[in-house]
Amino acid sequence: MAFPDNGQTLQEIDDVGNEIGRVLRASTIGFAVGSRVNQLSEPSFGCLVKAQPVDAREAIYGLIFDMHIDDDPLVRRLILAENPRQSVIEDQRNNRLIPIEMSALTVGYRLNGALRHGLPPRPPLNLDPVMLCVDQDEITAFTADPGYLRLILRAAGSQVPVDQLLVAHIRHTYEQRGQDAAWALATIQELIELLRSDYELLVPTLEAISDALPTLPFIAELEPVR
Amino acid sequence: MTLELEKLTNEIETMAQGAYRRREATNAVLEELMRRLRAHRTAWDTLEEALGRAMRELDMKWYRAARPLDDREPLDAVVPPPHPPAEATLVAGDGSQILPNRHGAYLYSVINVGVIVYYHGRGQAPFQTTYPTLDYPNGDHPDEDTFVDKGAIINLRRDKAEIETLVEVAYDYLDESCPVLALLDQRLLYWPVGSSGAEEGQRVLLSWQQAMSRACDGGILLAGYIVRPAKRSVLTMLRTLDILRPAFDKTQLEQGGREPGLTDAALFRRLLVEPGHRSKVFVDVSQHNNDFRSRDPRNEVCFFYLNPGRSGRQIARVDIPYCVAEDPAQLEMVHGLIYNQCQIMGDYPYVLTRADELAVISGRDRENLDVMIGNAMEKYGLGAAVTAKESGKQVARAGRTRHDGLRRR
Repeated sequence: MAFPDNGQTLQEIDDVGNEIGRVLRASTIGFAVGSRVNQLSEPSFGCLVKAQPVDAREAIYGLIFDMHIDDDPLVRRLILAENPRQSVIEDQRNNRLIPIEMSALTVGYRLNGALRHGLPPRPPLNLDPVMLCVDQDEITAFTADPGYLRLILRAAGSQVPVDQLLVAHIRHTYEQRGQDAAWALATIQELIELLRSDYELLVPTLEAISDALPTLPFIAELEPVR
Repeated sequence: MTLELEKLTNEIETMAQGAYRRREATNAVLEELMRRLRAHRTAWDTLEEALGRAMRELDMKWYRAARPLDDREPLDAVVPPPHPPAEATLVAGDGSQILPNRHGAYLYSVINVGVIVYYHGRGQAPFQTTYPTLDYPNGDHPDEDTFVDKGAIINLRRDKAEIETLVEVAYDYLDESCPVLALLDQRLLYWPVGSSGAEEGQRVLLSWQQAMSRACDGGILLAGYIVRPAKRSVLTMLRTLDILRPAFDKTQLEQGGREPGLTDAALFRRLLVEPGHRSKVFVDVSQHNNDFRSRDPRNEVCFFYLNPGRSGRQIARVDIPYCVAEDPAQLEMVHGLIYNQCQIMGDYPYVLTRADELAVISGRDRENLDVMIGNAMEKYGLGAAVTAKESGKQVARAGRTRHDGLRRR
């Protein structure tokens, strides 16, 4: 891999283009990301993102589980007008600084170059850049071990829609790993294992995965029998 | 302690009854004035004779009226909204300020002018910017007490900064193929309130008039938009017709009609029933406007009333300089573009709302500025604190917070 003059790796340079916003606020278990409208086209519910502190050897990984688009009195007033004009829409989206807020559930971190599936020693700081993980090698490395699923499941009962988040994440990662059916089946198998005492969550999750990935071989055989 | 609303119940009822009685009383007067407006709709000679006599015989310091700009439209004209030009550039500006606070940690003032450039007909995002300036005692004001006491001057300087910035930005967008409308949210017939004799006030007034002249030089369509106008000039014009009657006490006209609720807007609300309709264009008759005209005849301030919105209840006034008013094509563009802007929000120009939003200095902005100034001062060992009075206010007004629990669903 060639290195540019300033010492950044090509991966780091690619990441700059994948920035989806910056950290608004954070805790150990998650972080909120503020984004501009023009950064909204790529990230979606269930995507893997990482808050990247200044040290490129560190990162905090999360799954997007919520997106908020707030209003204000001016937007409410404009809604009342019939057919808002394009210039007004562009003004609202590009000039008026109402950040789109995304919430991410922390599912792991990288410290000194090593990936870990657990809560980070400290949360990211305000204004740390947040990148969408699109590199196949990075996604493959992070999802190779299903240990991070435990962090998703421990959010059950909170504001995180765990069943839908699992479905979106598996479908998304399946595609990003090059339609990796083996990975998807292994992950589903792990979910069944982890949720064997929680049928209320497991059954709808598996049903939703079947709907989302109908071409996945043998998925019906993996569904648990009561 | 919160305001105990129940203690005001009786007063509120009395207030509403009083307003109702006043409206009933003024209705009769307004009907009579409306009849007079219609009866003299083209009586140009009579009007000229009455106004001429009033200006000769009355003290212009107190007499404030209006006269018709021309005889192209009758006095009771109701002009529907024209189509705006296909493309135009609208520049709107507004200003805000932080006045010096004797109880603050540091003594300073700020003027912030917000400007938005709206590309009408092009469907693209507007350009927006702000122009903040900081003033402090070790600048032009060596005496701290003087700096605090002259807070009113900051308001004057804000007005000056508003119009000068507006015109300068408008110049950047001059293009022969596309008209430029420069819009302020205040009257064009600027007069430094309470400081007419003060040197600073006169300087600001001169700068204001120079900015108007510069706008005219560049062919910029300058306009001031005034909501809920309190002007009574047209009403006084109609009453001035009485001066031709024998035994009329003409000093009444110098009092300008002080009945509450009797304004030009109340009259034109009856006439301009449909959204977008405007009145005839009038010229302000006052000593102030004489001053404007004597310095530059093109700056003589004219105005028309406009029904800006859906409800039909509000009437706005639009001030324009003579150089715009005298050209029917320019007048039509101003009318069409301003009403087009009002349609975005319903009853107020969108660009003025955005300019205000850009200019306003929020409490949070002020706190952040205090922190920045504090950090800079600390570097030189000049740390300071707010007075005990200010500190007490901040604590008492800070509001309460609620324990959010564990945020489980």
